[in-house]
Amino acid sequence: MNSLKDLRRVVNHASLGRFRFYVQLFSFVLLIYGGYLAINVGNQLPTFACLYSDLHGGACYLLGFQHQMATPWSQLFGGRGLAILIGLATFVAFFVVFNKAWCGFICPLGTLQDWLSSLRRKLNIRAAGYSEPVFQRLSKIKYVLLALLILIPMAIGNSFFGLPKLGHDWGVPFCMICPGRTILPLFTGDFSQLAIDFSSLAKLTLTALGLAITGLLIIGSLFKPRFFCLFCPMSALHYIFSRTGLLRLTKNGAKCTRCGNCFRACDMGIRAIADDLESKNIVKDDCMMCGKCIEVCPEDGCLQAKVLSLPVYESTAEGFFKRMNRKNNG
Amino acid sequence: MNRPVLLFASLLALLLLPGVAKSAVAGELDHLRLTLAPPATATTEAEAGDEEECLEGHADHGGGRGGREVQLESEHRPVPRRTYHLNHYRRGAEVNAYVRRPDGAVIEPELILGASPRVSFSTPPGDGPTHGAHNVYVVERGVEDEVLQVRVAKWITMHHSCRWGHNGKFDPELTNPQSLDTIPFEIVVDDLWNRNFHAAVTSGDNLRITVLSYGEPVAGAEVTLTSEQGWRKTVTSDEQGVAHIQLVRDYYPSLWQDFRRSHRGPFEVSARWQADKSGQFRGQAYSMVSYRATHPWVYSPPVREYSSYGYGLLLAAAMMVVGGAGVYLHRERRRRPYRGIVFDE
Amino acid sequence: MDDELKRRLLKTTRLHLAMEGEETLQRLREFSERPAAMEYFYTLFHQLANGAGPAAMAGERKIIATMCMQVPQELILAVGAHPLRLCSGANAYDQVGAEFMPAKSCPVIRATLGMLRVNQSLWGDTMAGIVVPTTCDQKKKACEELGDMGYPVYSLEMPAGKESDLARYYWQESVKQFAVDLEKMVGRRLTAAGLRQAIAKVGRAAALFRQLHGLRGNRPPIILGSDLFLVYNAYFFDDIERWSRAVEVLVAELEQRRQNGVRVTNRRAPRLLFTGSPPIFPNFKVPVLVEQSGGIIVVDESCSSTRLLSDSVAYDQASLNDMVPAVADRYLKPCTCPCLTPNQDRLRKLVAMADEFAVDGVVYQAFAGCLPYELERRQVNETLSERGIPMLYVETDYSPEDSGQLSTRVEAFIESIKARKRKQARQQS
Repeated sequence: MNSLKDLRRVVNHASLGRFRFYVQLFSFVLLIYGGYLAINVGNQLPTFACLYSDLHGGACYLLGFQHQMATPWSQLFGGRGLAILIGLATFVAFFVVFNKAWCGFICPLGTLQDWLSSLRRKLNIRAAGYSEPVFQRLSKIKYVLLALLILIPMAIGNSFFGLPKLGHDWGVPFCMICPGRTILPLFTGDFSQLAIDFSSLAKLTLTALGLAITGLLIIGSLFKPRFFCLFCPMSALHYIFSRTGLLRLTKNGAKCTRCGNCFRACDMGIRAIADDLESKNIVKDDCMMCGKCIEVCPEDGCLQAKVLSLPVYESTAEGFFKRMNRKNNG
Repeated sequence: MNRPVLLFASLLALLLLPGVAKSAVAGELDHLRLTLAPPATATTEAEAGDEEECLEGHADHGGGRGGREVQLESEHRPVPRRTYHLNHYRRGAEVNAYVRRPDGAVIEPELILGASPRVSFSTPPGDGPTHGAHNVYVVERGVEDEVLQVRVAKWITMHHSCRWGHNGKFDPELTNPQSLDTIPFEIVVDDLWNRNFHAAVTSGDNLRITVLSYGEPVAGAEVTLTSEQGWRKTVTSDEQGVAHIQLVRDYYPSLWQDFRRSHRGPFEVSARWQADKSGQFRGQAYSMVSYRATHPWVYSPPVREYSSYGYGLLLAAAMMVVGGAGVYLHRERRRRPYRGIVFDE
Repeated sequence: MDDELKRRLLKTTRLHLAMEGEETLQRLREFSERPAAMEYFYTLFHQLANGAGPAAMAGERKIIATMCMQVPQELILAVGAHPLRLCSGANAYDQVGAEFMPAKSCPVIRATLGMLRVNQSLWGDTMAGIVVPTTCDQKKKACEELGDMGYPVYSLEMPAGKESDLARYYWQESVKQFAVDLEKMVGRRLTAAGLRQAIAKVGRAAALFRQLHGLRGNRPPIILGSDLFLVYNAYFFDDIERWSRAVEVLVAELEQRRQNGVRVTNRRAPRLLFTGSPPIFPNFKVPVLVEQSGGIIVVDESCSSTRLLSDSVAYDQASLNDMVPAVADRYLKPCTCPCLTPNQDRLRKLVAMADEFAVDGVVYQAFAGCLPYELERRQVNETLSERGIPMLYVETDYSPEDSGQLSTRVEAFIESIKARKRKQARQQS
């Protein structure tokens, strides 16, 4: 009993940030280079483990999902429909374990952005943030992208309103504009994704957009932490299943002083973490469950990361001061 | 100026295209070939059905799409049973067929001789022992004018679906071409497919071709590459039985709109070799052995034909500059004193 | 003639101040089971009451005086100045102030201005400026008064609310401007390293405060609320590192007490939450009365005490552009000063404190003239009565005249809580 208490104290005093750094590094290596060790975690991962990176140790669900969305409707009620459901179920099963921590701890593109943020700190560039109305508006883009990455493939396999079907070159439209496709293969020495494909109008449009977004991502990450994540359709897809997650982030509004430390720490800039006093489940659609808010919350038990209902990491005054002390003197 | 050349080329192509070619030089036997369609029915059947989509993203992905081309096998569309047609065979000769499966097992496919000679074997779907490249061989042996004529037709069946995953990519046994040392004369071409079992030859590639006889390298064999349009080049294999031939660009759509990145053109590697060996075959004496073998495959246009790093990187750099300047200007503007609200009237 | 008058006024004020201070200290000493570590604070206040100038605390450093806890202390420390909160609780100074201030004004302002007027000669060059945030009306007007007296006043503009983005932005910009002006006032550059160090110093104090805060809620109580008011009052002017060391000793002693079961009052003493206008030494009239009557103040919510160090700065990047806004946020966002509107956070905080510290009742002190606290009485009363927590509302000032009447009310309140507890205990058994 007492040893459990001691263990929890030790955990709560720890720096989650450092732990996260190593988990991110490990996941990055696993997902980008896993192939060298013949590791393949799965092809329905709820994170940007890019398939275009040839020796990936696991693969993002979105590519397969977009492929499947191109299934003609007439075939949906056969084996292919079942395959789609199985794929989705696998995705959800993966997702449920870590919930949105897939973004904060595992996503290689997210990790990359965090590394760019570290570079920004080294260069002493101050972080940018959006004002609340701008944030709210930009936050909706990911749902638009999610809708498009479903509708465009659907229009390849089916005819909408008697319009001609789209060409196959419109396939996997999100992958084509995803900066993960252009950047992650670079780590295995594959530069082929940095080219614009002129073979058809569709490819030209999509690859050009992809490279423009890549440019924006790199420069954006040097100003705004997790620049791309606000627009990520994977994050939108996550949010649909977020309530089923085993890992949870909860807030006890009664203990909150609204000091705003959590909001300041939040790389995503989620206002609700500081201002929402009602919600117990505080995982918002943009949340990546990085736990930075828990680290900077000085109120005992106000913010908690839980597995089901068991707190695994929670905010404590003692832990807060320990961490700040390390930061101030380190 | 171009027209006669083109005409000549197409004539040559007509002669050489698998299935329609007849014996070109009198006295010499033609190559033995395996084709997808029976030689009599022309080879312009359109593809039916939908391409199975691939989960593995690759620039060279999407084989055989397009419909107007010669029917080709796609490594993205697994079928439970494979049938390949033989262009012809000589009555009286001994004909055998073998299939080397990816797991190394050698099976004898169903061989039907007669009016429409063909081989047939099953390729059960799923990521099992049959997932990967099957080497299909038809070996014909017979003595003619005291010469033992050995003709081998080879075909590689890539039995794969991206749905089964790409775990095979970590197995060199599966990613490298395999040969069979019971085959009297065999052509092995490297790097025909990539680690994900997708056809990977593009025009401009320098093909490394090895000629083997019962698994041993053959020096001095004539290796010929014949392209879709009938261009051909012959080289002689070296001590290691290796010959290098660069595949020329052979795909010239007149309009850019007609260009298909997924275009697949057939080409054929063939080899001949004569050995001064005497003996008896089926009671007939011979003083010389003549070997010949064929090995067809497909190529696609190379990525560099239709993509540009220059523009790509320029665009990315431009976005970075614009983005950076935007943030910088915004920040500079913020240095000015607080600006009041302006009403939109 | 005028000088002569001033000198006499100063002399009598000093005398009164000393008497007043000694009396409060005497009362504190009369309680049983004093922690030995409190001796540091008694001595400190004894010296202060007997004429030790604030300059003694500052040493060689320049003094940046403040008139409210809203002034970002980290910035002052970062430029190497000594932050000194002027707010006075002395009746002697209040009487000086009453000479030129309206009778209805708040005694804190009156006493502070009185002190500054009568002691003007004391400050000399050491005082680089007086920073007055624009919180309540009285502070705003005090700015002008002080300016007229010839003090270097800096008015730190603060929004009237904290909910909107604009308010936060305004305050951050205001604090940034203050940081820039502070460099000029003190004559030293504000650096990231300096600010980080200052944040560390305040962070250490805040960490100790949290430990103390946790210990004071112990059952049975191991330290008096009045003693803690004194400890936190010392934070007004003491060197922050010296204060931290003294508190560290106190925390260690209290930890020892907790383990040994030493207690300052009987186990069933009503546990009270003190809120409202700040008790500032030597005006510990109400808290001392409460604890003399058998109650124990286990927690408080006032700007001279718990609120000083409740909140802490957390920054992401150790650069001025991130740290200064972080410092600004710590002073505005969690603030529960009634000068802000709306002030729901204060009600939430009171309820949370009442829950956490298992409080039996609330003592609400409002200084006559402190309108914001007087006006919030109704909301607090309603919120507390919804949860069945009784509240004693005391309107008072610095003069000892109402002591008799006060003690009757306080005693009655505590008796009623005791009776209630007895009744509950009987019902349970």
